[in-house]
Amino acid sequence: MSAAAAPSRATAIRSLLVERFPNAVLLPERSAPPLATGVSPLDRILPNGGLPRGRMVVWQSKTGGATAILRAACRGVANRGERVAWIDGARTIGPGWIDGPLVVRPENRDLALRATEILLRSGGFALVILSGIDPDQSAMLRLSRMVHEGQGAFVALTDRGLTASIRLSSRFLVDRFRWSVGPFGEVAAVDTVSVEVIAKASGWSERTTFLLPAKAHDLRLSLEPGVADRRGALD
Amino acid sequence: MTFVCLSSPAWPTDAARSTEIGAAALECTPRVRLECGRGVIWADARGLDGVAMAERLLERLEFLDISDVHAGIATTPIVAEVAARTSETRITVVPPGTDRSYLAPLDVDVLHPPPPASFYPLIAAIGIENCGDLARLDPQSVEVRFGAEGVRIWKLARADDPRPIFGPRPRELPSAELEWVDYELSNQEQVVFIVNSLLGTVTEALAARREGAHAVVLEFSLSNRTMVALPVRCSTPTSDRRTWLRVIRAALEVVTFEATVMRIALRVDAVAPLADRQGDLFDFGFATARATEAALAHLLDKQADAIGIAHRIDHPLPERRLVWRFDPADQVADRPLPGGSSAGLIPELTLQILPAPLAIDIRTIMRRGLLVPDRYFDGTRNYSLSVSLGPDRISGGFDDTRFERDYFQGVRDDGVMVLLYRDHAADRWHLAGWWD
Repeated sequence: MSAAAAPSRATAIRSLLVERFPNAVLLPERSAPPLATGVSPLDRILPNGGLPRGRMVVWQSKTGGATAILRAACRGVANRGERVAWIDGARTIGPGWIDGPLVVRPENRDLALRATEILLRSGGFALVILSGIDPDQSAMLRLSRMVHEGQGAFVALTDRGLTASIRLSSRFLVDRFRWSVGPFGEVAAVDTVSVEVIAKASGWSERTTFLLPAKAHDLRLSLEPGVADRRGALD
Repeated sequence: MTFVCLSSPAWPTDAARSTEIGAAALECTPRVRLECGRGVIWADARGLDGVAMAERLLERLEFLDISDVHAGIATTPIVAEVAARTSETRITVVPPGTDRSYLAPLDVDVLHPPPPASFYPLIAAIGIENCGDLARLDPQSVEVRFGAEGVRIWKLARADDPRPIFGPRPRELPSAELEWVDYELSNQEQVVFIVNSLLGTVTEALAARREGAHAVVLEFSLSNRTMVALPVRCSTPTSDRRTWLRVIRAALEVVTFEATVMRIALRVDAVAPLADRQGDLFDFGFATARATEAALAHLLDKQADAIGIAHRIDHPLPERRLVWRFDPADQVADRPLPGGSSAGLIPELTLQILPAPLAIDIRTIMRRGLLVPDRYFDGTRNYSLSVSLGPDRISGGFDDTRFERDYFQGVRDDGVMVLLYRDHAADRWHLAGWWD
């Protein structure tokens, strides 16, 4: 079978199903409308064009650009006037996080889970993200109940994906990195990195590639605030 | 309002006697104001029998050997004071509505504060002999002829005295209590059950007043005749029974009673008005604002230091460049949303900083006379670095806070960019963070 023939056959099957079962609703359309993140490549690969509300999504790679993409998603949702919370279980949020979501930095794993449950259950947050801890399976079950109760979107950065409706993963494509080269021909800085993101759900698998600019250096060499260092960085 | 004014030419003015007089007066009236220096004492007779109150006060003062005290009862302070000062009878009652006519035949100098000496020739020049004559003038002519001081005297002559002798009575804060003698409580759950019942009464009263409690005090009377007071605070003022029960339950978990409980009292210690926020129908978050506030308040009660807003400072060390300041829940809930586009956003890798740098074992290679990292072991696995950029040398601080570091930005084989540094003082390598 050719590649072009596959979509037309899928469309035909869908048409047949609609004809035979006119009142049936497709699984992805059964719940509340999804939450568009504003990050176009991500929205494109998610079922219905966004993160599902009331269901759990896991991002199974703790690195690989997950934080960058989700942080952009948080900004997109917050810019639309909805509330976003990020539970930073490992307290690793760095100096680049001035704006964006409401950041919760619990002291330990249990408190992080508790905070996540409270925020999810409140229903006041359109998007809640949990990073830095690995909840066990029972905790994941409890969290999925809370998500269902609050009807917000929830993304957990963890390897455990048994209770998730969508499993996302990402990895850096090292061979597609773009570098700045110094005057002597050596690598001077990383300009952009390439990230492949895969979204999997039941009967669904899509992938996309991002080109992410890397904020190459967050260090200041000048000790005097307000004085530019040798790279010209002021802050 | 009814004022009782007691006047005597011989009030003791020393502090001890004044306190004694005040205490004696408070036995007869709920509110007293002492102006012993001016020779008067005020009593608040609102809703009470003024004559009976004055009788009791005079008796108490006689008992304290203070003689020649006269009482005036009127609906305006000036008339009550004038009656007390000028009348020959022991108690003078000015019926309501007759205050101005009571003052009318009296000389202007009975008013208090008295007019200045320069005022008398002015009124004598136009034939004014008493308060009634002055009160009959129209205010414009009084102001033109006698100035501002004349208007003040004119108002007093008309029994127009708005002095706030007694301020508004503070509203009593809601409270509830339950006492029993037939049985003794030792089980914590039973205590919580009764507290829940008391909370129902208190929160209903608060809700009726459109107020929320910031702090409550639980008082437990024990069978060994001791009392335990447990102050409990909530992060945001609320009249929500469930919220308070949760906070109180958490506070009770750490309390152990030495004996069984015989009485529980719950009183509100601090209140704040519940704000009704004006909302925008097109605001996505308005419908859930209250639920969000409640969730954040719950979170703050459990983890007060977990919610914060990042403030960037200019510290040269990346792990100290972000300072978290903790704001009250309502400020967090109301923080302005970042503006900007909600579509077409481009993610950007940013530095993630470990709260404490992780000591690592490292293998270095020589490059242009400098040692640069080639592989590192973080305690769990080995990582090979395909690129190492640096060093960026940073030094500063004084004495114990002195630092001297060589930072390297490495790219691992799996593409993760990491920030490593060599601490010169300890000659150790650390993983500071990574980009993600």
